[in-house]
Amino acid sequence: MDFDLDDLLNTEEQFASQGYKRAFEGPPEDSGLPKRQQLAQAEDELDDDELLALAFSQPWPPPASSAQPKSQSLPADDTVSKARVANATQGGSPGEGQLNLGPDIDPLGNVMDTAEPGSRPLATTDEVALCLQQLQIQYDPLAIDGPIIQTTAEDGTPAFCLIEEPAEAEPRLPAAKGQLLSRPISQLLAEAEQQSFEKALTESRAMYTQAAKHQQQQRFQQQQQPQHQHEQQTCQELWVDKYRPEGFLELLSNEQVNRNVLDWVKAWDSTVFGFGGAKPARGIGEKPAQTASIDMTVDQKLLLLSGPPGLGKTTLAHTIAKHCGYRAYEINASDDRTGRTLENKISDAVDTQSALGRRLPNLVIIDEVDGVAGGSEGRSAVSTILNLVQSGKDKRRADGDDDAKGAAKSRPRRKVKQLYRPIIAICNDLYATALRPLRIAARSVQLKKPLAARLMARLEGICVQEHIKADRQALLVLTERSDCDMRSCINTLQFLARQTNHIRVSHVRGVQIGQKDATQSAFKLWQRLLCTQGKDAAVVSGRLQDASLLMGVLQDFGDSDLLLAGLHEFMEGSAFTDIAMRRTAEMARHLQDADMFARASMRTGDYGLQKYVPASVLALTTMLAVPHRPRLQWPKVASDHRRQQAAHRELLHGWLLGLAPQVLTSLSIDSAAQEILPALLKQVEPNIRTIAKQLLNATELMLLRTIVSMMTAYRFSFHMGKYGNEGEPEELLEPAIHKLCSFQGLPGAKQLPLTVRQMINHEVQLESFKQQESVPSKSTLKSRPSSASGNHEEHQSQAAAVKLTYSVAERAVAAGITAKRTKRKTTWLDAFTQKKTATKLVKKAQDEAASGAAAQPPVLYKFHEGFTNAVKRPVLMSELM
Amino acid sequence: MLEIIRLNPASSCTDYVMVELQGEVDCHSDKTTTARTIGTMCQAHQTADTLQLTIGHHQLTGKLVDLKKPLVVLQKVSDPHINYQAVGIIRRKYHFKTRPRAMISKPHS
Repeated sequence: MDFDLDDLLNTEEQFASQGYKRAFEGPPEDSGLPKRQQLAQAEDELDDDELLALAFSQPWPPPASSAQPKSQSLPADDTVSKARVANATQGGSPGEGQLNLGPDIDPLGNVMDTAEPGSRPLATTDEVALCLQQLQIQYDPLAIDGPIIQTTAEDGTPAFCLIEEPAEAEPRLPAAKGQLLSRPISQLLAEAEQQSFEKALTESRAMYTQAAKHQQQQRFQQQQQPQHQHEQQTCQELWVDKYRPEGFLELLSNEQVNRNVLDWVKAWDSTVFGFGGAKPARGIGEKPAQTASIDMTVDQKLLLLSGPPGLGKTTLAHTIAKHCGYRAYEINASDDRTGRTLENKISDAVDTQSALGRRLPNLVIIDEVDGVAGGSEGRSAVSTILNLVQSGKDKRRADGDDDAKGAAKSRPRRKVKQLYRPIIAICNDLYATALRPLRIAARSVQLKKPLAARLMARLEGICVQEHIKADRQALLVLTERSDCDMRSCINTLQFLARQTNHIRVSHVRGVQIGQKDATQSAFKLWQRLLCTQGKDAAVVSGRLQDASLLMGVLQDFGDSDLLLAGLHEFMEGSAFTDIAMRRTAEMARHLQDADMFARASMRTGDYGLQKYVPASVLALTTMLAVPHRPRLQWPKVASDHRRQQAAHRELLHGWLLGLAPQVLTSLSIDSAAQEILPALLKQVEPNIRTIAKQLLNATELMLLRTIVSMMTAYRFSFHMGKYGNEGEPEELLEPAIHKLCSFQGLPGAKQLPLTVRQMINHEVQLESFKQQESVPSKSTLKSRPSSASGNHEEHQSQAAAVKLTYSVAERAVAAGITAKRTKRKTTWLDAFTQKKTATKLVKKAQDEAASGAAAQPPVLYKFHEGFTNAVKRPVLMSELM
Repeated sequence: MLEIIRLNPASSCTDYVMVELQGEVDCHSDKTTTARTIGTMCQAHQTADTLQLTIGHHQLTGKLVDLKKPLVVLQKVSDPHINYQAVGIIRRKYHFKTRPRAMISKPHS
C-alpha cells in the first residue's frame, strides 16, 4: 500500500473512497479469509508502518460504549479490539477510568499530539476519532511490554501507550482481491493532478516566453527611440506617489510633530480596539461597555493638522492611520462643502467598516477643511463637524445631569450620536475665519517645514534611484526656492529629469516653481513686504527677481483693500526721516494711485484694473520697509469708523424723525450734521447766572426764551441723569446729538450747571406742553375771526374748558364747524352767527357728555360667547292641545 | 333668541326669515312687548352677501343662510276646538354669529 497516515488525514473523502471502504465494507465472504485477517489487512492499509497502537486497560471484554468509535464504522465487531489489546489484557488494574472515544474528544486530542509528536496537528474531530480507533491507553506502564509513550488521559491522570510494531506477521491480502481498479485510486488521482499541474506549467511557460519576446521587441524599438522610452518611463507614475513614505520612520516632517499625532491616534486605541478592558465600539451609535474610561482617554476628538501646502500633511495622516491599524478614509472637504453631504459622508465612514479585505476600523481624514470656508454653507459644514465631535461631551454632561436629578425628571432628549472613531482634519491655514469654532474644540498640530538637510537627503536618494545625476548645489537651490515644499520639490525634480540626465543649478533657476494655492495670510504678507532683513539673506534670487516674485504673491492675494489698509496704518505709525514731508507725500501718492485703480475697477466693474494695484503697493513698500521686524496690527481704523458712522447716522435719523415737519423739510441728514448742529450746540450754552428764574434780568430772560424756543423747535433737552465718572464721555443732551459734532482734540461743549439745566429743561417742558395743547384747538381758533376781540377771552376760556374734557363730542363739533366753514364764503356776519352756533353746539355736546347715561341707546345687544342659555325642555302634545 | 319678521302680511302662508343672533337683545328701558325698532340692518356691499346689523352701538356682521330643515310658524286657533294653523314658513335665516364690533363714536341722531 502506498499511502501513509498523512495522506489519510488529508481528506476524509479520500479516505472513504479508498482502502477504508474497500477493506471494511467489502463483504467478508468474498475475501474468503478469516475476519481477523481481513481487518489486519485493512489496518495495514490504513496505518502503514508507524501507527501507534494504544493498549486499553479496561476490563475485558469492553462494554459496548467503549467500543463506540469502532462501532461507528464497523458495527458489532470485537475482534479488532481483541487483537489490539491482546498484549495488555492481563494487567487490568482496578479503578481505571473509561475513556470516551466518541466524536467529542477534545482531551484526547491532547493524547494524539503527545502520542505522535512528529505528525502535524489534526484538522477535524472526525479524523481524530478515526485515528483513535487504533489507540488504546494503559494507566500502568508496567502492564505493557514493549516501547511505551506517556500521555495524559481524559481525567488528567498520566496514561501510557504501547507503540505497536508494524503488524508484519499478519498475512496480506492479495491486492487484486476486492478491488475494481488495477491501481489504487489515490495513485490515479495523484497522476491526474500531476498531469494538470504540468499542463498549467507548460502553458504559463509559454506565456512567459511570449511576453519576454514581446518585451524584447519593445526594448528593441525603444533602443531605436531612446527619447521616447525615457518619456514613457517617467510618465508612468508621479514621483511624489512613487516615493511616498511607506512607514512612520520614513516621514520627513518633524519627529516631534509626528509623535504628537501618533500619540493622539493611539489614545483612541481603547475606544476603537478595546485595549485595556474596554470593549471595542463598532461605530457612532454603539456605546461601548465602559464609557467613562473611553471618554477619559480622548479628550479632544478632532485633530486639526495644519501647515503650508506640500509638507506632507495628508501623507502624515495616511501613514499614521496605516501605522496604527486603521483604514484611512479620506473626505475632501472642498468637494463636499455643504453640511449635509459632509455629515452623511462622515457618519458613513465612522459607522461602517470595510467588509472586504482586512477588517480595519476607519480613520476619517477630512482634507482641506478650510475649503469649506465661505457663506452659510461653509459655516454649516464646520458646525456639522463640530457637532459630531462634541456630541460625546454633551451627552456625558446630559448624563451627569440626569444622574443628579434622578430618574424622576426624564425629559425626551435628542438622540446624540457619540463619536467612536478618530477624525483628522487637515487645513492649510489654521487661523482661517471659518475654522475658528473648530480650533477651539480640536487639538491642533502645526506642521513645520522639514529640515532642508533631510529633504535634500531624500531628494538625493530619489536621484540615485532614478539614475539621475544632480548637483548638490542645484538641489539646495531647489529646496530653497520651493520653500521646503516637498511636493513641489519632487515634482520639479521629475520635470527636470525629463529634460536632462544631469541637473545643474542653471536648470533649477530656469524653472518657475509652481506652488499649490500658496495663499499667505495677510500678516505674513505685510511682514514680507515691510521687512528688509530677510531679503539680503536670499542667496539665490536677486532683487529684481524678488520683486517679480512679490508681485505674483500680491496678485494672488485677493484682498488688496485689506493690504492697503494695513500698509496705511503702518505708515501712519512708523517713524522715518522725512525732509519737507517729501517721503510722506510720495507714499501718499502711491496710496492714491492704488486707491484710484481700485475705485475705478469697482465702479466700472472692470476688474482688469485691479492688476495695477500691486504695483503701487510694491512701490509704497519699498519706501516703507524697515530693517527690523515690523510691529504690525490688524487694520481696524476703517472698520471702527464705519461702525461709528452707522451708529451716528442712526442717532441723527432718530432725532430728525422727532422734529416738527416744517423744521424737517428744510433739513437733510447731511446738512443737519454739518450745518445746523455745530451752530445749534454753540447756541445752547447761555451765559446765565445760577439763580432762580424770577431773579434773572431782562437780557437773561431773553436769552432763556430764545434757547427754550430753539430747544423745543429742535426737540432736544439737557441730559438730567448723573454724569459719568472721570474719563467717561459726559452725556450732555438728550438725544445725544452733541456727539455728532464733538471731535477728538477739540474742546467739547461747555457743561452748564445743574440748576440752570434744570431750569431750562423745565421751561422747555412747559413750552412743549403749551404747544401740544395749542394744536387741537387751532381749528376752533382759526374758525373764529380775530377781529372779535371782545368775546375773545371768554371764548378762549370756554374752548379751554371743553379741551380739558377733550371728548368725542368736541371733535364732532369741530368737524362740523370746519365743514360749514368750507361751504360758504365767510363774511363778518357769517362769522358772528357761526360763532353763536358753535357755542350752542359746544354747549349741547357738553350737556350730552355730562348726562352720560341718557345718551345710551334704548336697545342693547349682549353677545354670548361660545355658549347658549337655551333650555331644552320636552314639550308634550297635551300642552299644545 | 329668535325674532320673527313678517315679510308679507297679505298672504295666508307667508315666508318668514329668521334672525339668529348669538347673544341677546336687551331692552333695558321698558319691558313691554310693544313693537319697537331694535336696530337697522343693511347690506354691507352691493355685491357681497354679508349683512350689517346695528343694534345700539354694536355692529354685527352676518349673512343669509338656508335652513337645513325649514320651520313652520303655527298659530293656535280655538274656535270650537283647539287647532293650529300654519301661518308661515321659515326657510332662511339671517345668521349673526360674529362678535359685535363696538362703535365708539356716537351714532347720528
